[in-house]
Amino acid sequence: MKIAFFVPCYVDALAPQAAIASYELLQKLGVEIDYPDEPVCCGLPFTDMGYDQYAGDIEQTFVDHFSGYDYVVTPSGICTDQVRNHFTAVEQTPEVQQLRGRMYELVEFLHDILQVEEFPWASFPHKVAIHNACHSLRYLHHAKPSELMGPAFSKPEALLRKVPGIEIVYPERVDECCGFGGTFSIWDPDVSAQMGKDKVTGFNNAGASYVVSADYSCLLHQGGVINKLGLPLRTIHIAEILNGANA
Amino acid sequence: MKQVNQVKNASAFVKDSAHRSSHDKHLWDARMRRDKTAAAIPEWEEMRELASAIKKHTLSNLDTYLERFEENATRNGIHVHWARDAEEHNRIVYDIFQQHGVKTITKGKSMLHEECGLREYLAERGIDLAEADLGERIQQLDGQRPSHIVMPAIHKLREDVAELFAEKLGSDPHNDDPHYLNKVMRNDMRKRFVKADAGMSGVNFLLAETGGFVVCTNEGNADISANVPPLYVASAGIEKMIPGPEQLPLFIRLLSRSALGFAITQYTSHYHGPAEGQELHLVLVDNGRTDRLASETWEVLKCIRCSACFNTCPVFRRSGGLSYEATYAGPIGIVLEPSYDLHRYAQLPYACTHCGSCGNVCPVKIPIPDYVFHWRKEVVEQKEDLLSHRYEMLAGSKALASEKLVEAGEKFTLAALKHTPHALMASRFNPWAKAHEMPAAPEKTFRQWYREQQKS
Amino acid sequence: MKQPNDAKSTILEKIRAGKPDALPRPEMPDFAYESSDLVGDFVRMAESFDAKTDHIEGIEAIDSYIKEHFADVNTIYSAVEGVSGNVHLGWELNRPQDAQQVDLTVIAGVFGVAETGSVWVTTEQLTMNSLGLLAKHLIIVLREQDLVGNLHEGYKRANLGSQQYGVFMTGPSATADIEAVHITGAQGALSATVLLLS
Repeated sequence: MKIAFFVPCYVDALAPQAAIASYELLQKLGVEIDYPDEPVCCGLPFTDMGYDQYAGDIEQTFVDHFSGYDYVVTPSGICTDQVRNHFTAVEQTPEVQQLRGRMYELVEFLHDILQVEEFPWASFPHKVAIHNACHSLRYLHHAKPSELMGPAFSKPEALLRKVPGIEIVYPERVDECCGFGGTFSIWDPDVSAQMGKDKVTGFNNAGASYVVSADYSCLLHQGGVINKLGLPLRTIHIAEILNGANA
Repeated sequence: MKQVNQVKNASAFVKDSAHRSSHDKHLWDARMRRDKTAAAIPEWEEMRELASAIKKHTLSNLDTYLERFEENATRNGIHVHWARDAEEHNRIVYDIFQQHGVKTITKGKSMLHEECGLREYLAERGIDLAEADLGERIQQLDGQRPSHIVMPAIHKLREDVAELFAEKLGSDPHNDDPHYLNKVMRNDMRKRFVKADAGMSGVNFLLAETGGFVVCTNEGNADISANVPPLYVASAGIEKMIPGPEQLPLFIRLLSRSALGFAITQYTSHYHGPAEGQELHLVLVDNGRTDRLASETWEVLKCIRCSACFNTCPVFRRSGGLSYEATYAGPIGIVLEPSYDLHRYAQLPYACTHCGSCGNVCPVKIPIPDYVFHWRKEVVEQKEDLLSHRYEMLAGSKALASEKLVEAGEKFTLAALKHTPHALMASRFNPWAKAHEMPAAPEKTFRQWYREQQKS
Repeated sequence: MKQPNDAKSTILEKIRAGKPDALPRPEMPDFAYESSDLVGDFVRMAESFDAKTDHIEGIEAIDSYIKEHFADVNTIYSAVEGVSGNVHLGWELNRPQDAQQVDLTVIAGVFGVAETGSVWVTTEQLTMNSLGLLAKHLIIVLREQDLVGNLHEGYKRANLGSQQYGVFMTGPSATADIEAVHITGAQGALSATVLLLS
């Protein structure tokens, strides 16, 4: 199995530790990884704002770099959703369709494809609150959203449960949006900030020491609010814990 | 018409922590009750799927169903009228009132009446119309539209209502006990009910096979308006149609559970003709619905106006319904209102974080999240977007298609984070900094790390 | 009172021109109600909507039930044979508005729904619809054997279209329009009592 590793721009620049942990973790799990060492964008901001028509060249560049692998894996739910569900500015050739089907977010890849049973190098004796980013939750189906009826499941939680010492908690509003919403945080900073405050206050009330998520975009937003409010909370990407971070 | 700036409208509400947190809490509580009652029904998700399929079937055969409805309703003694738009609806209603010499009316809450501006239309013509639903009456007295479909005054606090009732109904301004305020309303309305020349209401469901219609309320205000005066006029959007009584229980089971988390509305009422000695009119209204039916987003017409999407929407709960300056607020509003007036409502589709919860609570499975994308695209294609956005996006699309420029952009961001003085970063020029500390700049990007790894 | 037909034909024409391809009418499955205690379920649900419920032995016991539980009421209208009232249709009660003076209306329910705690009532039981809406208090007499499970069964039994007005009444009138505070007795009945006849 050969995969391509995609590092989104915001992870590369602002949360490289999440990408490094993901990369090292995949190596530990014996995956053959190709990293196209050229920065490429998935086109998310364009689709998000309604400018799909401008994203054709961007999507084509992405296709040029990431076609032909068994899987494309990325530590980002929003970018996975973008490629899998919204990558329509480029012509839908068989190559493009195949690529879209092979795009995986890291948690899904570990849980569904590799079906990892243990992380013997990991240990995390802390209370962590899981934040399922809305895109990962509702468009990639990482877990059962609270408003849908049916049997409960959570892929990130299932993976984290394999880490010795970890204690998992949830806020009272289990999966309410934290208000990042990509461009929304710039579109309506006041409402976005209020949602962020409510969210991290919920984590704090749940007694968590860490907020863990598969999406660093939400964590950047939440981290900024946590620091502004001076709450005793830290943010961490799920790959860091699974890779053996022991802060 | 001037473009609605929902963000600006919401800014006062979000900062008013008393109103905002009350609003947020009560609507979230409704969402939680909904989850609980839905979870008690094993076939809940199957019911949603089925309700969606029934609505799609009915809408795709709407002409036949409307004709069947009219035939059966007429046989039941209901006078059926057709209105192409709001103006025609209002005129028909007014003509009926003219013929009967109607001066006072009590009325059940109706979103269609809001849509048509009926209250204002009749007021201008000297008709004394009283909204008979408590929340809607509060909004009428305050000169505001309802901020929420089933809880029209939920953005207000009890002291706001006490003040309003003191001014308009002469109640004790210092008593803000909701029980007392309800009694003030009841006493005033009871006098109006027995005096009214006519009653009005909206309609929740039209039944084609039996030629009847269904109205759901908790207060019984629509039932009293319908059954006490000698004349009853109901208005229905043509999309309210379902085939008949076999399908109805499915929708009744979904409606109030989705709206408020209760198994049913206290009064779930079915009309198949006028009461003895009464005259019953029903106005079927298009007002843009046939245009919508022919459009890509036709499934908005499945909406049964339950407001579950309002309650779950994290943006709505913190913005308040009035910020949308539209008949329909919240998630359904931001994908419905642009179809009435794209220019006026061009900013509404952006009042959304794409969290996707609205689509999951919708009892008839309207793909609201997909429609948000649709309308953003439409806004851009019809050039109703903000110019600043267009230039940014155009410039960005060139830069981001180039590997070199992406890398330059990342480097610039890091340099900015590292070298910009905190004071400038936290200034008013950076909206993000009002509520966030800026992230510390990492030592190196992943790419730099990777390259170092490859070398060693 | 016929208005010109062009609105109707315009609307129907627009629908025909623009409607999506016809989609099939789904079969309605049989949603069964699983419970061995319809009475218990009904009582629990009705009370969750602030209805009062009580069990009585027979119609003849209702007069004394009223004396005991509704000592303050002056005007009673009864649409149930065997229950005494002191105001009557055609005498004190002629117009729908006259129901405003009634303190207590006693009616029979056609059947009850365990799923929701609702009672089905039509013009036939109400005799004049407003008597069930404007009266201050309401007693609905319901035979236990007339309970059904869910609303699907209920609507089968309701036989819609055969009555001018039919209503599922569930508890008294209620509102939560001010700060979501739950209040009974909004515009309609202040209280609703379901008397179950075994």
